[in-house]
Amino acid sequence: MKGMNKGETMLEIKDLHASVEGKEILKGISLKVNPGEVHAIMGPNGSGKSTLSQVLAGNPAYEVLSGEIRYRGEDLLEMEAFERARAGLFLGFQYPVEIPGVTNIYFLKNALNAIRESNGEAPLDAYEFNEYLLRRMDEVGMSHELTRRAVNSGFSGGEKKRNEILQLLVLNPRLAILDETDSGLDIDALKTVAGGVEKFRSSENGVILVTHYQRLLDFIPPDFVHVLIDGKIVLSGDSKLALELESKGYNWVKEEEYAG
Amino acid sequence: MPVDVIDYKKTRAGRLEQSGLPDTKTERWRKFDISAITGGLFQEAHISTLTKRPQDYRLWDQFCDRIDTVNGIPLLSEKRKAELSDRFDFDRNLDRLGEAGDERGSYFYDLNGSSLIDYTVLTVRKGPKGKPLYLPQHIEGAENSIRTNPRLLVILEPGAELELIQSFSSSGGGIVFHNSVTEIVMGADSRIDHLVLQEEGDSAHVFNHLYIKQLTGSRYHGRNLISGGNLSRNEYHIALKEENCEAEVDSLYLGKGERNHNSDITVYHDAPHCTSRTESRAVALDKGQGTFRGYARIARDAQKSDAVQQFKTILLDDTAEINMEPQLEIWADDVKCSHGATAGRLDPQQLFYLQTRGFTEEQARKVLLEAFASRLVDGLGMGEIGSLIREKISLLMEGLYE
Repeated sequence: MKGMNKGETMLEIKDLHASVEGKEILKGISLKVNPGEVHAIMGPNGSGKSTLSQVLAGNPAYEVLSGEIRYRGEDLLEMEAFERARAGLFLGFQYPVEIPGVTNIYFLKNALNAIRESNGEAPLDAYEFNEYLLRRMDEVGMSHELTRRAVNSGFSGGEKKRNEILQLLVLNPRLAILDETDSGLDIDALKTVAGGVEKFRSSENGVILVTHYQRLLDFIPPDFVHVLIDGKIVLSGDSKLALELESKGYNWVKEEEYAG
Repeated sequence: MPVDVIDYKKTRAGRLEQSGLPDTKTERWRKFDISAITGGLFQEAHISTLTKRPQDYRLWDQFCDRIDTVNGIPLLSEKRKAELSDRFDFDRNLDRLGEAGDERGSYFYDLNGSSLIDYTVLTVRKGPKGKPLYLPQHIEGAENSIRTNPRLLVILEPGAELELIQSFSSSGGGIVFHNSVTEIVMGADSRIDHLVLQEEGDSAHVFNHLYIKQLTGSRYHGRNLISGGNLSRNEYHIALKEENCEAEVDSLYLGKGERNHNSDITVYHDAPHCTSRTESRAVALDKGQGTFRGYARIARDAQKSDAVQQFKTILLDDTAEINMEPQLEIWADDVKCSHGATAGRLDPQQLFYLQTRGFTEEQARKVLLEAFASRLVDGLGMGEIGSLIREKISLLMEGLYE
């Protein structure tokens, strides 16, 4: 994986069909993400945005019916969730999960060291990790006190989302899929979260922003915008498409689709 | 043993005949069939079987003060008493045996009292807390079925503080029955952190009866780790006799294989402005069984009582069975009482979340089980021994599937 050639496709999804609880949600998705690119996937509620995120991360509750996903030259569907994480794929959750009894610092340290070890890097010791973590926390404007608290337990909505971005910066993956990371944030929190994503953005890293609203894209200008409706990408374009959606609404796309 | 104990034994023997052996027709023993151990109730251990001090937890010796009890006999020489005399008295208050327990009693309490061959009465004076006091109860040389009746009375003088650890063990390969009674009388504003470790083998039955009597402003915190024994039972009777007392009991049961644990915790709110909190947690798999009963009785005068009972169970397969029975009996009108019970599998969302961060499924399970179990030791002091207990829990959770 380390030897991936420059310019090689990072993620390629071909005609993906997937279901949850026996109901087909994704009905033929194709998408290509190259290193350095930021893709926004927009769509109304129930269009399959979160399903796509969960399938990419390997949630066993979702069933892939057909199609193919290549990630950095490998068959992603053959990899378990933890293997995907260790190979540099990161999902920022729409609803981050609370884990009472596990402190944030324990969680982050063990997560990072599991990933480092699988990449053949030495694990960080407690002191090194602490230094590293506090710097990342400052970058996302998180109170240091949250390291001792249980993972997401009793965190406010905004704190949970910041914690996802903190994990992004701490784990430093290659491909970040951020599922509705903007929902429920006030404008200041949104700016901080967007700032974190911009720090992550680089010529080597890919980002998939899953969002309902244009708002986040003001702060993280995407290279590509895709519109997902009823389990299919019905329209793709550049960042101007997001603005058009903002002013005309999703019904406009639906009408276009049916007219076309 | 003082002469008047002979009278005490007679009284308890008299009660024993009246109270009768409980069976599954008795409501509180409905889910706990003890007929396997009631046939003859085992031969009593004799002093002659006593050989030497047990070797378990020798590593702890440097971090605690230790008094072994072997086959019901405390190994407490005059020299040892003198060594511990800065904090403890052993020869006072002997006449107070039964002060916390006699009022409640039970068949097994009376069985203990009527069979006494020796006992420990420990008076704790006010002063620096000192090292934890470790009182292991050991059955030695049991080749056949054998029963012991260890008996302990701890009296905390007003303002006294103690960290107390009890454990049960046996050697010799026979079937053993620890029929233990512990009474704790807490003077005003005294405090005790009381840890009970039950890690006996598959052929051991451990009945641990605890009677706690609390006076004004005293604070009791009991913690139980049950990771052994075949039929085992913890029975707590906590009486909050005066105002502003606090009582807490945390339990963690790891139920698998032959283990069947019965926990029965009763808190008597007899005075106003007292709080009690019990939290019973169980992780069970591979046919492990357990029943957890909590009972809070709020007397008519016990206004502003605050009583909470929590039961939480994780079942790791379909063969394990845990019953949870919270109960409240409230006679006062201005009180805050609540209870809750949850049972289920490990949360698939938590498992998945951890896996998306690089934890394998096995690592994720371990993290979640350890987090669940670690509630038992939240805020536990006890110095170095506290850390050793934390490690122990971590190892137990790791070995759960073995």
